[in-house]
Amino acid sequence: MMLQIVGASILLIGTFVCMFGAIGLLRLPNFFARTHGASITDTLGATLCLVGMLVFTFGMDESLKVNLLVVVKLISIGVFLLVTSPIAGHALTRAAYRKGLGGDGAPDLEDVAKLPFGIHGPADVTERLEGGQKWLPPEARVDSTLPSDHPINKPETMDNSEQGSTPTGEGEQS
Amino acid sequence: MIDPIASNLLFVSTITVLMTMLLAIVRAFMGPSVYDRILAVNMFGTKTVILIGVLGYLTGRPAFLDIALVYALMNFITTIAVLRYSDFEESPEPNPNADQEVV
Repeated sequence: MMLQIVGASILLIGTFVCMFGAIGLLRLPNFFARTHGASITDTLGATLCLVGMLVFTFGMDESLKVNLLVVVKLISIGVFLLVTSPIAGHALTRAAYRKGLGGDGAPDLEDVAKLPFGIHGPADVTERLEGGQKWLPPEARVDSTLPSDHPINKPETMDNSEQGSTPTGEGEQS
Repeated sequence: MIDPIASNLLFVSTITVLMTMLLAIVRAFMGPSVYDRILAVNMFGTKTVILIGVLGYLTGRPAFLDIALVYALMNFITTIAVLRYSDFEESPEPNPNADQEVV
């Protein structure tokens, strides 16, 4: 009977984690933050609940075969949830980002992969993104915070880079 | 036989999971974008799996876990199917004028 109480307690903790994630899903300000809240419930909350059920199963006075069958089912549910929930969350976030939910100046995912620091790049890159200006691809970008032989600073655009604060030549370059 | 203290704990867990599902369904109804609704429905499905498992233990029939497993499979398939529909609803082929656009 002690194992039952321990298992039910772990299960209760897991459901409370799920409820905190649901509060985050309801109250966080934008979509990507809400994705964080929902992902917590899918990994930590569901795992704690399934571990609680597993401990609870060992406290039940059934025969060993029945308990073993239940344990196999629980482990298969856990493995399946742990594999599929992050995949579904990733696909959802990627689809939302490609649909333009990241804002007007959000860069393409292929261009983000080429940035040296990701989307949280050097300061003037984020200024360009937040200023409502058009985002420049890495070929047309002049970045003074990087060394001049970095492949982002192309030789034909290096001539404009003595100020470095504002992007020069946005529309004329192609 | 189920211990009465463990039975009470399972009952509180059931109530908590139901409140979680209520919060998720509120977000699914008021979500400003389609993706918020898909996210909330996905979380609702995961919590359905947990709820069926807890109810199975509460009523002393852990064979409910088969139904929970089926729900977990169906939830993933539903999310991916809705995402594919919403991802390709405009035009799956690339824009032929993509390389002539001024950046």
